[in-house]
Amino acid sequence: MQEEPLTVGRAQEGDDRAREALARAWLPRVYGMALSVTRLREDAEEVTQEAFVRAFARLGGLRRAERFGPWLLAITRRLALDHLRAHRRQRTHVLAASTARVGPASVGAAGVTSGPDGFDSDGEAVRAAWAGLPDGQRVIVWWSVNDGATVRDIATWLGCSKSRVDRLRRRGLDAMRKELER
Amino acid sequence: MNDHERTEAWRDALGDLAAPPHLLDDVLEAVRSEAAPTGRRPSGAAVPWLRWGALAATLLAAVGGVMWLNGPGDDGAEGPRVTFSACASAEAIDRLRADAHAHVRQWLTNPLLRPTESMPWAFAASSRSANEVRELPLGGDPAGPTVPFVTTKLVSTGGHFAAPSAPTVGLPTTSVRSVVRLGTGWDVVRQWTASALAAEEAIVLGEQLLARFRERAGADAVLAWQRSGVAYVELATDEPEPLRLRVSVATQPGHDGSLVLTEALARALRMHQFQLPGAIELRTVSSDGPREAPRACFRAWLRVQVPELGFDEGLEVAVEPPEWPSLASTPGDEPERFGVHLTGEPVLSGWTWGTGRTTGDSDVRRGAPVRGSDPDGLTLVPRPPEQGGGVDAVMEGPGAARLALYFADGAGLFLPDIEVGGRSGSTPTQSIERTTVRLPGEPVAPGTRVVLAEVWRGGEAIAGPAGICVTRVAEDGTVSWLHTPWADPDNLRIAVVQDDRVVRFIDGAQGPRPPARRRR
Repeated sequence: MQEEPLTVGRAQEGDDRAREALARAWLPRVYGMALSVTRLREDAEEVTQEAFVRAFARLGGLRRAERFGPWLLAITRRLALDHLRAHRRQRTHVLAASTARVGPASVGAAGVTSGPDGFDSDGEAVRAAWAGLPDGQRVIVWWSVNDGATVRDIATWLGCSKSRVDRLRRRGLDAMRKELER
Repeated sequence: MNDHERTEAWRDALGDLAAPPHLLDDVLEAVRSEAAPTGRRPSGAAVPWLRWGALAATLLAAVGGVMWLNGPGDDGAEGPRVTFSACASAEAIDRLRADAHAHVRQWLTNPLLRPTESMPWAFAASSRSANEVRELPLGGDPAGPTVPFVTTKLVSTGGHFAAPSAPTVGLPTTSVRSVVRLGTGWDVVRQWTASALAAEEAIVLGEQLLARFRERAGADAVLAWQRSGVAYVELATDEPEPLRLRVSVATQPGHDGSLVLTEALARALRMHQFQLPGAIELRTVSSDGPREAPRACFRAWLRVQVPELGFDEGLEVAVEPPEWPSLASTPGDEPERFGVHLTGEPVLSGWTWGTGRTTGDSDVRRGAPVRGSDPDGLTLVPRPPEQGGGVDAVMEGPGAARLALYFADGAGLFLPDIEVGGRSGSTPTQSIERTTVRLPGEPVAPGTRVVLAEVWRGGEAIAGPAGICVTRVAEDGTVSWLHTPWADPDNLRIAVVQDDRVVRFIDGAQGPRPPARRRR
């Protein structure tokens, strides 16, 4: 989106249409980030709204318009983590063998797979496998599979190297594949 | 099922979790109803002077309007009486106390962590006692020093232990006495003997404070102001009469919320006793346009009272270090200072930056980004907590680069091989995050040096994409891990180092994964 910095500039001047364009363009990625962290659709929707509200309220403080996307995603991630913390569902990084990762079995309890949509069993297995990925892999796989984002795009959004993103993406896809083959 | 079919199937499955159609409308409605007008920038990006000038005029008018409405003070001087005093909320006290304990205990128990001139933490000493004084001796020091905020009733420091940290240098050790008062509102009242005060100091008001003034003064007041920004500041002291300072109130365009005090005024307020390390993003304006730079500063709490307006609030403020004036930018820069973001993030104390592969031609420079000018091709920007904290290293230059960051608390992150080149021409940014991890098993003594890395080979840490972090165990047994985004704590291995030897490895473990739930 080469014209995005111009759109950001207009949004900074209070142009509602520019804000709407930015929201429209970034909503899937922001929601993907929120969902990847919270793993609960209701929470992800809430976080997504709050992220845009906060970002637009502080848009005047954004000095580099071309960094709008990573900036917005950073806000989203922080809000999502805060949301988890507030609901006491945040996973603590305890470096102990006895600490089990939040995995697919608990995902259903968290709500991802227990929505009202009546998911099919294969789809549910895929969603459960995705939800069982580590944090870093989850959002990358989401953007890669669901949004068709390239490694380069994701690296830019996350502030990581491309090799890092590629490695996490491949690792995440392999893990899902193995999980589903079990 | 081939890869393409699998991808399609997965996309369909994950698509059921995609954003619902109504979400965009919800977002837009929420944005329209809650977007803050103060966050907007005026137009005219090509004419920065007009932009900043217009904003400055608005802000100055806002402050001035408040003063004009309230008329002269009791002493006949212009403007309302504004009282600033160091303060802290109960929550802030708890935080400060915890920090004070951790720091001082480390100082006393670990000789490696004895304070130095460059450490940003400070507390002053007092030989007096006061009512309800309770002292908490800390083990390991025969002098039995006490720590600030050892109880909620008392703030007092021991007479035998004066940390030789920068903010206290030159202060008489008997001059400071602080009492914490329990109750509602702002809980700390600072009392101290009088000391010499600078005749006039600059106070930089941020939009946050101005907005609150504006709320109380009413919108019409903004248009009424025609006078220069001068306020009179009372300093609470142990003397019968409060000391009064005439201060210039200089509004700063683009200042997004932090109140910035000069170091001299903060010292007069004795705020240094409460100071914590922090960082603030500053901006200078030159003919080339605005330039941003992160700087270390101190954070403290300031009680701001304007009785005529019923304004009485505690604000977290930035205290500019004395080096700031010398930072000065290049000739021609307008010496504007902007408190754009005030953060509690760890303070960067140094960097090493090199371009080129480690094995090839390279250009390595070292310096201190927060105390001097930034190196060419590298800009370090502390991110505010709402953006995840940490640091953004914005790197401009072709090829690979090496980067090491050092923090005032002793932590360091080393990234020997970062991709800097980009075909799109965009400036790569390497985000650096901080995760707190808890060490399992047998406790490791606070202050113990540890090395954190995802990849180890033959007992040596290999700096993979997450980098190598060297730091120390905190008082509560946690370790602050600096890393690039999405480093996986489950792959983390921590080496405990004593006497320059690894005495123990602690591995992050990936717990047993329960099987996927499948519906029949």
